[in-house]
Amino acid sequence: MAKLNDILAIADPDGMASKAYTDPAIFEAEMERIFGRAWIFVGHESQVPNPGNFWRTWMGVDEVLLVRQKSGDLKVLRNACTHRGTRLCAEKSGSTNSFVCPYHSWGFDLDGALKAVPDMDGYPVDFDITDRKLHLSSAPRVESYRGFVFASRAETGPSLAAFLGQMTDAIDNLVDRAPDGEIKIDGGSLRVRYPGNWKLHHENANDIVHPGFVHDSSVTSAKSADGGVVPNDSLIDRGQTKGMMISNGLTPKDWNAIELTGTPEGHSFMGGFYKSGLLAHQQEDAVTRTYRKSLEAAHGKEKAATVLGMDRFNNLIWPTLNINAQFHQIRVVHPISVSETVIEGYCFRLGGAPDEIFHRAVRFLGTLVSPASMIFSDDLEIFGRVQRGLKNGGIERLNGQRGASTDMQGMGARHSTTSSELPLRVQAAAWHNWMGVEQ
Amino acid sequence: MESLTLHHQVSNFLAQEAELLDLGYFDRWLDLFADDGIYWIPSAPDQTDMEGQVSIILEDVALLKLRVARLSHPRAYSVTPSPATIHLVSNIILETVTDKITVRSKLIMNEVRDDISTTLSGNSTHHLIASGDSFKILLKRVDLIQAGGTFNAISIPL
Repeated sequence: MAKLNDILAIADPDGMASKAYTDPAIFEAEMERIFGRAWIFVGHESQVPNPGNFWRTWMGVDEVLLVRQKSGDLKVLRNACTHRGTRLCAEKSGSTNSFVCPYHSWGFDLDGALKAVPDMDGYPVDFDITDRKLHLSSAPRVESYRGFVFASRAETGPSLAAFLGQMTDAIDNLVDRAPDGEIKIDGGSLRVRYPGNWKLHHENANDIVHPGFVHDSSVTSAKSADGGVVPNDSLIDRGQTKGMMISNGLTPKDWNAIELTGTPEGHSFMGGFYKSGLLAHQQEDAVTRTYRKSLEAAHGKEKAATVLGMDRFNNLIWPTLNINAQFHQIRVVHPISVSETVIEGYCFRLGGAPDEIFHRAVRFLGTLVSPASMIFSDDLEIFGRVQRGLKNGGIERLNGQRGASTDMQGMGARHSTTSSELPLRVQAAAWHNWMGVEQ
Repeated sequence: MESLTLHHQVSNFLAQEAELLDLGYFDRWLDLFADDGIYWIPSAPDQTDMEGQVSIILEDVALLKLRVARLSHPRAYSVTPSPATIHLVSNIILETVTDKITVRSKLIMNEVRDDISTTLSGNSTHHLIASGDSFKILLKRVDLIQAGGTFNAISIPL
C-alpha cells in the first residue's frame, strides 16, 4: 500500500503523477479512500419505484444492490452472501421479496438481514442469525436529491448537500424541465468499456481543446456532408446527429468564449455556449413549441424561459456522474481496474412533455454513448492511448497548466473564461483531499 | 428448383456484402442499400421500438454516408491503424419471399487491430428487394448476442 506522503505528492495542482493512472496500489487506495467514503451516485429513484424493486450497480469495484424497502426507504446492499461470499443477485434489475443465495440457500431480507439458513440444527448454539456480521453489508448513508440517489460507505463525513454544492442546480434544472415535475429513466441504457483509468473520462469531458482535434474526423465528415447529403429532415434523425458532430468543431476563438466553473468539491461545468452563440439557444419547431407551452403552463413564462435557457454543459459531479440537463442525459463512470473503466449512459423521459422530446433524448444517447458512436469512439481510443503511453513509464507527471494564471476565484468556485485546464485542477484537488485524509 | 436458385443468389449477395466490408470498400457497401434503406443494430434483445428505445446504430442512408465518410478520414483515430476484419455469414434461411425477401443469417465478425482481437456475433435479418440482376437492402438488422451487455468501441459496420 502506498504511503500517505507518496499519495499526497501525486496530486500536484499543475498535474497528476502518472502513477495515479497506472499503479494498482494507488487504485486500491482510491477504492478505499474515495469510493469507500465519498458520495457515489448509485441510481435514480425511478429505477426502483416500488417496494422490492432492485437495481444492481457498483460503488467503485464493489457490486451493490439499490433496493426499495417496504417502508419506501432506499438501501444499498453489498451483492455478496455472508456465508461463502457468493455473488447473490445476477440480474441487473427486478422485483423480489428477498435475496436467496444460489449456493446454500441463505435468505436475506430486503434490508439485508439474514432471515433463513437451511438446517439450523447443524450450527453451534452461538451461531446467531441476528448477528449484524451475518447481514448484507449496507451503506450507512443513502440520500436522494430530487430522485438522484447517492450512497456513502462512511458513517460520517460531509452531507450530500455539502458534497454536491452548487451542482444541485444541474439536478434542479433537469427535473424542472418536466412539465409535471417528474422525470424517469427510460429508453434503455448503453455500456461501453475502455482500456484506461477511470479518471480519464471526467478529465476529458470538460476539456475544451480536444474536440477540435480528437473529433476532427466526425466534424469534417458532417460538414462535407452538408451539400444536401444529410438533410435536416433525414428520415430518422432530423439533423440531430449531424448537429452533434458539427458542434465539436470548436476553433481557438471559440475556446475563449466558453466559461468554465470548478468547485472545491471537484465538480465542474462548461458555460457560455448560448451567450456566445456557439449553440442555438432553443430549437424552433412544432414539438419544441408544444413542449415550451406545457412548461410555461406549469412554471409560468419567466421561470420556463430560465429553465430552458440554462447555459451549462457537462455538469461533472466528481468522481463519477455527468449530467447534461438540456439533453436529459446522464453518464456514469464505473472503475473496473486501474486500467479498465465502464461508462454507462442513460436518458430521461420528462413527465408531461411530448413523446418526441423523449425520442430526441433517446437519439442523443445513442449518438453519443453507443459503442459505435462516431464521436465517443474516438474519445475511447484516446483514453486507451493515454493509458498505453503512461505505462511506458517515461512520464513522471502529466501537465495541467493551461490557463492556470488566468483562473479567477469567486462565489465559492473557480472560474475561467479561457480554454483553461481548470477542471483538471479541481479534480486533482478533490482527489488530493479525499486521498490525503486518513480514515 | 427456383427457390434453390434464389437461395443461391441471396447467399452470394450476403457473401459479397461481407466481402466489401472486409476489404474496406465502405462506399460500395453503402451502394447495396436502397435509397430508403435502414441499418439497425438494436441495443436490447427482442427490441421492437426504434424511437423509444436506444440503439447501437439506427441510421438511414443519409447518416450512413456520414459514417462511411468518417471511416476514410485520415484522423479517424478509432480506425487508425485500421482494423482487419472477417465477417463470416452462414446458416442462411429464406424466411419469406413475396415482392420483398426476408433472409435470416448468422454473423461472426472477428476484428484484429493493434494486436487486439475482438469477436462479435449476431443474428442478421435482411429485407431485400430485387434490383436489376441483384438486390437492394431495405433493412439490415443485426441482433448481437452481446446486446444488453458491455461493449468495446465498435468501428467497422457489422
